[in-house]
Order: sequence, then C-alpha cells, then structure tokens
Amino acid sequence: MLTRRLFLFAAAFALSFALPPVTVHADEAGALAFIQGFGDKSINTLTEEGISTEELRTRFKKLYDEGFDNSGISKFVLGRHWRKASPDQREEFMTFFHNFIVQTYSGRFQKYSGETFSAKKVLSSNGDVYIVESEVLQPEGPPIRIEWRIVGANGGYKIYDITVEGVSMAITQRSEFASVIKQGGGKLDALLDALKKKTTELASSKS
Amino acid sequence: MPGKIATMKIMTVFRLTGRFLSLAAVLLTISACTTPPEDAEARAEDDALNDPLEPANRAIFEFNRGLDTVLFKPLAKAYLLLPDGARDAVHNAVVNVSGPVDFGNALLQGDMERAGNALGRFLINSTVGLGGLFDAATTIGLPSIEEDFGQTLAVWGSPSGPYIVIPIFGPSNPRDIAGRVVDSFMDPLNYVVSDGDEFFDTYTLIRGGIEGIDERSRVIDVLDDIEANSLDFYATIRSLHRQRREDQINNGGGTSGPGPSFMTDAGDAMGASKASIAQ
Repeated sequence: MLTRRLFLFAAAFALSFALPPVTVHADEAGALAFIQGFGDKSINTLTEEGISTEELRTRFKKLYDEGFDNSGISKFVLGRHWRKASPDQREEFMTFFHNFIVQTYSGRFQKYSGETFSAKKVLSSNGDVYIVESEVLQPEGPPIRIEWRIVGANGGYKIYDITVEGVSMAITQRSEFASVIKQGGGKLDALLDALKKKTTELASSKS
Repeated sequence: MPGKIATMKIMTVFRLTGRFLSLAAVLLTISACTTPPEDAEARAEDDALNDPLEPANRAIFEFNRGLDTVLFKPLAKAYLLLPDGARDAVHNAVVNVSGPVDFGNALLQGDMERAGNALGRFLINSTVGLGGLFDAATTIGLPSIEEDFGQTLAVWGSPSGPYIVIPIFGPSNPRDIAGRVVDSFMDPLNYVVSDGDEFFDTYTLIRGGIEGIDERSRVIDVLDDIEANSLDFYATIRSLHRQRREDQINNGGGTSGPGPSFMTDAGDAMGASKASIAQ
C-alpha cells in the first residue's frame, strides 16, 4: 500500500520535471511600446519651436496627467508622513505637488529641440512593474540615459518614476520634501505652505 | 534514581529560564512601546540620511553660494563670452589631462575594458587631438571614461561616510576627499610639469582654476533652474550629488533608483496606481 503510494508520488514528481515550466510572460513588449510612444509624443509636443511658456505648460500638464500616476507618486514622495496626514492634507498635497511638477519641469524643455527618443529595452520586470531603459539622442553631445519605472498591463500603463542619468525624480523630490518637513519642525503643514508659496511665486514670475 | 533527580533539576532550570525570558520580553515590549514611533522613525530617517553635520554643512553651503555669486559665477559668465570653439578646446584639454588618472583608477578597479578605453582616449587625443584640444577619440567611438580614486574606493567596498560640504569645492564625503588627495599624488602630470619642490605649485593652481571655470560655465543654467525651483536648495543638491555619484561609481550600469525600502512603498504606490488606472 505504502509502496504504491510512494511509487505514484515518485512518478508524479518525475513527471513534473518533464513538463515545461509554466512561466508568466510579463508584457515586456507592451511596456517598451508604451514608453516609445510616450517618449516620441513628449519630444514632438514639448520641443516644438516658438511655443509660449503658457502653451508649453499646458502641453506638459496634459502629458503628465496622461502618463504619470500623480497620486502614487505623491504617496511615495511624502513617505512616512503620508500615513499621518489627514485626508484634507493628502488632497492638498496631491494638488500642490501636481502643480509644482507641472511648473518646475515644463520650463526645462524650452531649450531642447531636434532630439530623438529611443526606448531601448526592459531592464527588469516583476509582475506588472517594469523598468524601461531609453535614450534621448541630442544633435550635439552624448545621449541622455533615461529609465522609466511603470506599472500596468495591456496598454494601460502609468509612470511612477523617471530617472535621468542616474537621478530619480521621485527620490529627489522625496528627499527635498522630507528636509522641508524636518526644517519645519516635523510638520507636514510646513511643506504644504512652502509648496503653495513656491507654486504661486513660479506662476507669477513665468507669465 | 540519580538520573531522575538530575532531570528534574534540569527541568526546573529550563522552567525558570523560560519565565525569565518571558518577563524580559514583556519588559522590552513595554519599553519599546513607550518610545513614540514618531521619534524612532525620525531617527531612522536621520540615520539613513547620514548628514550628522547638517548645520555646519548648511553654513558652508551658504558660504559657497555667496562666494559663487560674487566670484565664480561672474567669472564663468564672462568666460562664456569666448567663442564656442575656444571653450570646447579648453574643455577637451581639461578632460584629456585627467586621462592618466582615469586609466589608473579603472585599472585599480579591475575594469580592463574601461582602462583600455581610457588609455586609448588619452593617447589618441594627445597626439591626433593635438595635445587634447580636439576630441578625436569620441569621433572614433571611444566612450568617455571618468574615474577617480573616490570611485575606486567605493568599488573596493568603502562606504561614503557622512555628507560633507567643503568650502569652494562643495558636496563631498570622507571617502571622496581621501580620493582626491590620492589622485593628486597619483597624477603623473603633477610631477612632470611641476616647477619645484612645492606641491601646490603654479601648475596645479592654474589647472585647478581652469577646470573650475570650465565646469562652472557648463552648469550655470542647470543650477540656476534647480535653485529657482527648489524649496530647499541645500537638500536638493545633497540628493542630486549623491545620486549622480552613485551613478558614476556604477558607471551608469546599475538600475539606480529607489532602494530596497521602496519596494514596501511601491506596494502602496502600485495599489494607488492600479486604482488610478482603473479610473
């Protein structure tokens, strides 16, 4: 009796090696295609010559809202302070953060033109989280390395971080905001005030 | 009979030890609870930040900013008035002159490919590139190699140590400072072109000055932009410097970015992402 059970078990065990391993193929091609599309669209709309600062900001906002996960990024950037924040504070932070990103990052595209974008490969994929490596080729100078961290599947992707030449946007902002909170005596309101002040300042100076 | 007594004694010891340990566990838990999580988290964050000298660093950072405003930036802006060609030639020469140090450090790191590239670059640019003024090496496809002893120490496993802002030179750390010192001794050109016994002679000063102006002039707009958009310029520079340094040490190869702790946060972030995608 025992021998028979053992034999069946052994047979099943041996059989499991004969069958091909079932692997879940993450949608790497989809992730790559998404980034190539998004990168191309970004370069085409943001580096167009002769558009006003206001127009640039509008276009950037559209791209950001479409491609980036503002609430996910907000949560990461606030770090441990998110947990203790009230729903109102969280809402306020997400709004201010959104405006802050649009204002500070949109202006940086003004001096670029003639670049081409190339999504190179998926560096790693883990479930539905992907890191896509890409390059921006400039008319002059070496290519710029950009890594995109995205999550999603089947064409529904959201970017939650972008790393340029080794510098991560999410990490930099998180580090800076943590410092503002610390300098403000550990209060989240110190950051909210600073963000409100800075975005107002930037809005008026760039018009 | 003696065996049974011995066993009973051992059992008693076990029981007492068990009770003692449980009591210790309870006491420890209580003491852990009495520390507000807030402080423990803040302390953990500070430890990870590794900037114990922050007040002093901020002061030196402000000093550097002031010095930059009155001296270095105006010099760099004046320098920008020179024609592109001339400034590019200077930049190429500056980069080329550190060729031997790039080569030596790549070798020390055991990276034969990069060492080969560094050597190739130096030889080609010094000869065909007319003393380094023209970057012929890049034209024929040799990638640029920037290595220093600080990076070598990092590759050998040395941690960076706390964040330190040095007067004039800016962001650094104990490992990189030691690295700079070693590089200055390792650089053959410091010996070849020296005009005497003093170490910090005219050559070193002039070279340092030119390198400084060249570098400063190339980052004026970028730094202005970062400063204008920062809530905390000091903290931003600290973060940028450290990330760039990590990238340099990894030669652009590591999938840089959020460290292990991010994965726990990523779970939250992904949860939020999925929710937003669903919307």
